[in-house]
Amino acid sequence: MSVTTIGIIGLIVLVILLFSNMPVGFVMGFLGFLGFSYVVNLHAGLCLLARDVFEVFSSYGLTVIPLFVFMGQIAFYSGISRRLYDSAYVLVGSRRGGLAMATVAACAGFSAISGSTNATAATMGTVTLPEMKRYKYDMSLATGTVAAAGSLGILIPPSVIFIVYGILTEQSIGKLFAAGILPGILLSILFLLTIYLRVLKNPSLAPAGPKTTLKEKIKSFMGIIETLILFALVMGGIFFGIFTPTEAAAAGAFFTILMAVIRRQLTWPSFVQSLADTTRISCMVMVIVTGAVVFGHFMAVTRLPYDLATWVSGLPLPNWAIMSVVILVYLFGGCFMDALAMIMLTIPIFFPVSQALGYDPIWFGVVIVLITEMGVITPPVGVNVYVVSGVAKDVPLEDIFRGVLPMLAALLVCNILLLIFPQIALFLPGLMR
Amino acid sequence: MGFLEKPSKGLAKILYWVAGAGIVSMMLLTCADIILRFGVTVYHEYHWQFFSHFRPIPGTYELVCFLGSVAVAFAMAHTSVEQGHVAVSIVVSLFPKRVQAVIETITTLFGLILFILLSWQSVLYAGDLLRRGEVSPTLQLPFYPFVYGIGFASAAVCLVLLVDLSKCLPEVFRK
Repeated sequence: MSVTTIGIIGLIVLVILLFSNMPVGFVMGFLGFLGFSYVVNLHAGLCLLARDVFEVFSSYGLTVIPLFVFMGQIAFYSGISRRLYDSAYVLVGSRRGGLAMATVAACAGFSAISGSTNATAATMGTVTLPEMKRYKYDMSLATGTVAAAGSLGILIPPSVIFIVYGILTEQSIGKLFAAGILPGILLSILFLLTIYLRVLKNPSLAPAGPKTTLKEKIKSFMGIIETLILFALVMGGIFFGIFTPTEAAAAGAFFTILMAVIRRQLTWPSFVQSLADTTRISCMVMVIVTGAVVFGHFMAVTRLPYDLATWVSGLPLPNWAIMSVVILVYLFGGCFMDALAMIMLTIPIFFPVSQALGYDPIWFGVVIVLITEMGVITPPVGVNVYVVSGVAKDVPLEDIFRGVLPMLAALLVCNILLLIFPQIALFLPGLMR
Repeated sequence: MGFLEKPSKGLAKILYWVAGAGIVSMMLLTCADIILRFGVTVYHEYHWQFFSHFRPIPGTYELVCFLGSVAVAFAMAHTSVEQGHVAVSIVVSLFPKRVQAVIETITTLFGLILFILLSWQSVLYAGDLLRRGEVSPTLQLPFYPFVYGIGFASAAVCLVLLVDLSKCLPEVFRK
């Protein structure tokens, strides 16, 4: 049996085992070990296991994950999400559909301090859904908005996905972060536009909220100042080369705690709870990354990714057609799998393909993040939809998926724009030192 | 195997807090280093005496790496207890209960094998590093205690998985 065949068998078994409810990281680690041992030898496989685990766990680049997660959790427990929403609400809440638009704006804001879609959706869901219910919003629109806008968490930096993508493909995390900003803003605008159009067509979906005075509007601006400062500290530090991403994350987490303590918004129990959540989330992410690294080593010895890349780039098809197939695979896979797991699994295979086709690695990173964003809100496994349904227990799952559909269109438009104009992603990284 | 449940959960929880302490230490250490480094820059620019004794903390990079390994490794057992690892349950949930139990038994067994091997190999690897006297470049800190740590943490995961196995196995044979 040729090594390529072993690689293909490995991939098939991987897909089967993935659907067996075994933790994704364990599946990849286990199969990676078995495959590597089979191709090389058992001793090499055993050595690989211990070495890969220690190397990934003690990787400086990856220490940025727990720190950014910590920053997001502290921000959540100290009520930054609430204040962001309150500000957005006062600014646009009096318009028709204003609360839903405020939700998008607040999600975009919270994404600037949180790096995961589930965290953003859960956080903003608990804050915004009761308000929209109170003002008699159509709950399908309300929940769909939170689920979709929550997916901004992985596009607007800091983003856990960009970090692991950057490390696995040896790209600058700072550049990837910078590349996510403009598409993030574009997508937020498209979400707002979608809500506006839906409400224009059917005003009963989202009645106007109470009017607010100019004074209230100015006062409410204070609610976004802390987020702005945090974002400027973290992203500015990385952008201008003052901090490494790990340092920026540590400073961001520390500063968030400091602000929360000064404002008396962080109690000891909520600090402990945010630390417990951080530890669990970071461990979950790192176990997947480690599994992917072990599996990636197995793939590398089978040479399957390179053979595939050579084969694909030699196909008599235009690049965009091949890229479309890759995108379809992500879209399909994203429907069944968690965004991070999906990206970790496919990077060892598709990254060489994208490189063989001559695509910019940073741009490719942004594109697959955008596509997995679609994945987290499409049935049957739209993780964000389940998170929102956990918060809004009285809204049937079908209603949330129905509310998400128009937002999917916005995501699709954003994706197409990014394919046609790669500069949307590449402009800011190009300015970096 | 039921008698193992309480001690394994207890151990997992203790390790979990060690992991949490690792994250907080990482944050504090990195921030202290940034502030001290900033002090050095200020002293060089403006010659303010206050900053004259500021020095960056040597070996911050290494220490953060080591703390990172503690933060992840020691959290694995408790994350398993809380079912915190990402898994795709959509297909399995469609099967009858008995089939679900069979699948769970097999996958837990696979997980158990993986972590037994990892624990064993980490101990061997640590011993190897100890013999060769491998240390970090700046602080000359030995690597092996952290690798032993991973071995120990993996053994704790084995305990948790063993308890899980003892729960799903009887379901397979239930009449």
